[in-house]
Amino acid sequence: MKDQNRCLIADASHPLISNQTLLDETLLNNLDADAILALYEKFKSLTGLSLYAGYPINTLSGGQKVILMTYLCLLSPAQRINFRNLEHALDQDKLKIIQSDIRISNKTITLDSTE
Amino acid sequence: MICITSTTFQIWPEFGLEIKTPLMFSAGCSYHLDGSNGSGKSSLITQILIPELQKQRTYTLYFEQQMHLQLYAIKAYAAIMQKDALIATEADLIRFMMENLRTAYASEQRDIYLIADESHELEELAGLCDFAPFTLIYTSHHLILPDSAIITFQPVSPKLSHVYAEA
Repeated sequence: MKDQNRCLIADASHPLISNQTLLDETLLNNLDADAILALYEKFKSLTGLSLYAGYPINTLSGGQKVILMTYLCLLSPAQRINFRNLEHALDQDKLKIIQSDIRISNKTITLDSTE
Repeated sequence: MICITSTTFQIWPEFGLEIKTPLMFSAGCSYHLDGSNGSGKSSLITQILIPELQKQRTYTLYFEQQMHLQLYAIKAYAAIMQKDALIATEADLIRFMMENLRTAYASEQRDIYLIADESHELEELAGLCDFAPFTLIYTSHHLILPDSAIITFQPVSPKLSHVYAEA
């Protein structure tokens, strides 16, 4: 039986799973080609950085990793997402944009703080 | 006191910091590194500040951002060296390292630098160092401690930020 409480957990205290290229993260989050293009576009609009499959994600700043984590989740097929500690690492301008994108998402999203 | 002179540092192949005014970090003072995500605050800490501090005989405690790897490393150290120390959270880690610092300082006095990058326990950290004067250098998007001098990071492009001390 499918567990209705099962969700994708994304904790900003350790935002990325791998530490090499963006490709690993898009595979782990099961993003399709359209979602990857949307990710590139959104990330560039927020940070000015142009992503690509081989992008070395370990060179991103802590906040940029959290932004990447957020949109990897929002663009993934997961329908239920639990974001943890999302506010801590983000500056106010980016946090407002992300909160707005979370609000208009058609997913079931919960926000928690564990710190 | 340490001083970083006005110059441009090519931190990464795709990112540089241009220090517009000399940055001076004096004993007993607090410094808030202020800037947006990706403006180079952590890069200044890890690539410029800590290497500079390592040239001097100081006690430098660095609490890194998203510190889960540091947490595991300190837990492993404590498990071997100090078996009764229970470290589960960032707060535990800070208390453990500050106690370690207290012991070291009692044995030999040196200048103390506490560096906290987006620490969840920033206020507690400052309060724990009650046994000696210290210099606190921190980043935080949500908290500015009283009497902190501000060092501003102003991105001029995704590849370059200007850094200057507020007058």
